[in-house]
Amino acid sequence: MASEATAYFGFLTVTENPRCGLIGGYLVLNHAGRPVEFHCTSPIRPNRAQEILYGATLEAFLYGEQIAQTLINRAKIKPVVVISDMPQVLAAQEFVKTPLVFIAKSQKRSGDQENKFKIVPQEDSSEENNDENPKISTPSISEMLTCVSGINMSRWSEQKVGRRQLAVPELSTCPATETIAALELVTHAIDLAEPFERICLAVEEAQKAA
Amino acid sequence: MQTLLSEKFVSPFAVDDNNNVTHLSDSSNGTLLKTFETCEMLDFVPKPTPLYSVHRFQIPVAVADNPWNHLLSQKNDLRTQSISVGTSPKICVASMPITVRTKIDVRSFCFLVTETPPQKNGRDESATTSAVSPQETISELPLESHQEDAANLPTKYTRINVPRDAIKLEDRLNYLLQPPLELLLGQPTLEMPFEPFPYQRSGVSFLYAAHHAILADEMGLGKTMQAITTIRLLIRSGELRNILLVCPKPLVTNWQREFNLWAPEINVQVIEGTPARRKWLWQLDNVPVRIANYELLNRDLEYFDRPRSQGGPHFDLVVLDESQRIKNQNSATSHAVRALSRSRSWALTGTPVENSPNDLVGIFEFLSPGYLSTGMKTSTMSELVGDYILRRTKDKVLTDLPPKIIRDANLELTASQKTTYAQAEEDGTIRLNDMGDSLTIQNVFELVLRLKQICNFDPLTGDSAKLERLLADIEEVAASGRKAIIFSQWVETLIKLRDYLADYHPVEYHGKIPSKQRDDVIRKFRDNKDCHVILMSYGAGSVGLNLQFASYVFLFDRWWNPAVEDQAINRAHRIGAAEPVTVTRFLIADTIEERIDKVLQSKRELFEEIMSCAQGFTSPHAHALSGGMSHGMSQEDIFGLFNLKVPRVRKN
Repeated sequence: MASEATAYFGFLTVTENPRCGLIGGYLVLNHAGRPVEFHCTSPIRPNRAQEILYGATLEAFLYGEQIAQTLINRAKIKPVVVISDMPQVLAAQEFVKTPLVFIAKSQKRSGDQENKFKIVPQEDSSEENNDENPKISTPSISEMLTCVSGINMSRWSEQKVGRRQLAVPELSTCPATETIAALELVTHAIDLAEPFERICLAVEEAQKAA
Repeated sequence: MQTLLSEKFVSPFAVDDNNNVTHLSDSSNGTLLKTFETCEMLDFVPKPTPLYSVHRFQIPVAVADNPWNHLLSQKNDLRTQSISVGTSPKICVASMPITVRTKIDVRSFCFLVTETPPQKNGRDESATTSAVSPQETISELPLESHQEDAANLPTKYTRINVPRDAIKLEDRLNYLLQPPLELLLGQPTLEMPFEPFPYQRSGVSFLYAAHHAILADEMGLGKTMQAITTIRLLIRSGELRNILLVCPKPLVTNWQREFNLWAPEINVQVIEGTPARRKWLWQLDNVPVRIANYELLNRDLEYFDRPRSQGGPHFDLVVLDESQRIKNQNSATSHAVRALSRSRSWALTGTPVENSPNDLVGIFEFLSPGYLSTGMKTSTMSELVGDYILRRTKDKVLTDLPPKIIRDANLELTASQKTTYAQAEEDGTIRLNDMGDSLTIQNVFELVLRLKQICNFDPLTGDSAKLERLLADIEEVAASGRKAIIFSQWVETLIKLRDYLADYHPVEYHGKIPSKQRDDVIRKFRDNKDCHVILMSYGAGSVGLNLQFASYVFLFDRWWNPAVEDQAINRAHRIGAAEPVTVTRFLIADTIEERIDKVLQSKRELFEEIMSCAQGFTSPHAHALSGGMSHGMSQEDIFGLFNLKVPRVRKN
């Protein structure tokens, strides 16, 4: 694993534009949280045949195999870990060596459309859970992940880094403990759930310019 | 060796791999009849295609006696019969494209990151050691501290503003993708002495990406801190390396102090000393921040008014503090600051417009020459400058700040003052009227000043209605253990007050106190429990000082412009004030003071009315104009104080 001072961290998400389709955004940050690379895809939309034939595995195919794999391979800098707030993106783990970590984030992003995979808050179960403001039942990360078809979820284990809940893969090339250690070192500079907001803003800006 | 499959020849013949007949046998009993060593082509193979051939057939065979011969010579009688089984059903194939891998277009952007935090050279090392060295890798920091930081994540982030003049998508994305200020400011290598207020983070966000900007917050909201913090972040990100800060001379030490507080790792150099030293300081390129005062700029013009190609200094950023100093674009100071070669220009002022909207034109001639023009419609100007000005007022953003209580002490002159005043006014008015067209504004000013001085102290008897009231108030201030600031426009008045207030151990801060002693004066006022009073002139003490430990402000006489009075009051009523600030404005009834006050008040109301109609501007910052504007007195106003008309020649 790279030394912390030269370590880079990838953040990958997919936004859905009702007019254009799915747009992937991939941001690579240095250890101080500064952007070093940003990549975004053109919008893609599955055709009818794909919808029928991929069935329940369609999203894993689009988000992971197509978008995430393309973006990760496109970047010049190889990060120590790629974090995504979309469980479907984890399907790309079959095709890339970099560990893909899933983070449960709370804030609903502007531009997000209704999605059956929408992440439910999972920050700190001990807080804000009073009767006056009852929460909708909050699934665990593993429950969230298992709703994605087409991905072998057994290799991901649930971990907590800072205040964030993560699902970290156990890879032969990179044990989960190593991934966690790298992430813990940058939590002072990077809120692991925050860069997705940057990506959404940047994707929106790039779309305006397109 | 293999056995023939043909029914006719299978029994008697066997062939090798090359279809050569190798032997002949009796099919009835399997007896070997003949072995062929060599074979030649046989005629008995049916035409047209001989299935088998025998080469080098040399052994004679008695064919006439052999019954096989007859059989072999017979022609095959093969008959074929076709039976229709009908046409096979036509199968239609529908193909749907399921592209295994669709080609996705990707737009890529790379950003240059140069984390180059400055190193402090030859300065207070204790300040440096108190902060974690930026050179330390994050792995050297204790893990616990990281986790504590992470546990205090804010719920809402302040993002860096993307300036409207950033056209290129890559530039805009570079700003959008920067970390939020909460994370930038929360890094362990970037210690902050105090947690910034949310509006201060917004101010930093506004300045961070701005190449031309006016931060016009009301006095006391921390423009200095916001500017320093932004400079600090930009230096660390490598975007700034060479900054010049220009301020009024009395504020130079204040800026040094503030830099030491908010950015202790940044090396600051004041440009001062002999001409040779100053020339050398102007050429330095290894000091991130240099501070010069306005007066010095005029003197040192020759040191910096040269193109870069000829060795002239270039600054990544020039910040003008109290930028209302250059509102007159024809002044020498304005020319001097415009001669500074720079990439970014910021102006800090609590009063971007003091007398008229044209004051803004002067400031913009420094920020972006030609962007505004004199005589431009106020509404047009507001629309144009909206993106470049940020102004907040205390009542909007500092709801927790203790209140400011303003008391107008309307006093009557003492008997002796009345007599002296009446005589002076009568004589003065007659003299002005007699001057006819040769009358100048200076002549009127002289009379105004004379009368105002009488309102303070009777020059003959030394009587003072204001002093009587002041002594009573200060006694109460001292008894409660609090401190008071007393402002006057005259140093002589302050010196007189010093003698009268000797029991309260007053300190002085005005033009006759050398700059080097002024920090000690402030320190003594703050730290000495017996020192209850500081006597300040508007000129020296109305800007840049932090005196929030004082709970009382007395305006012993009034300034010409309410904006300056506001500045003075806000020395005490600012961030850090722990208790309400009581402001007492002395005003002598039926005198020139009352007349001036009425003129200023009516003008302020009129302007606010005009600006309130202009609030519908599209820009959220458009109200910057209205908030920061407070008219001073025009030539006509000053002549009008004595019912005089401006001579025609003066009007033109």
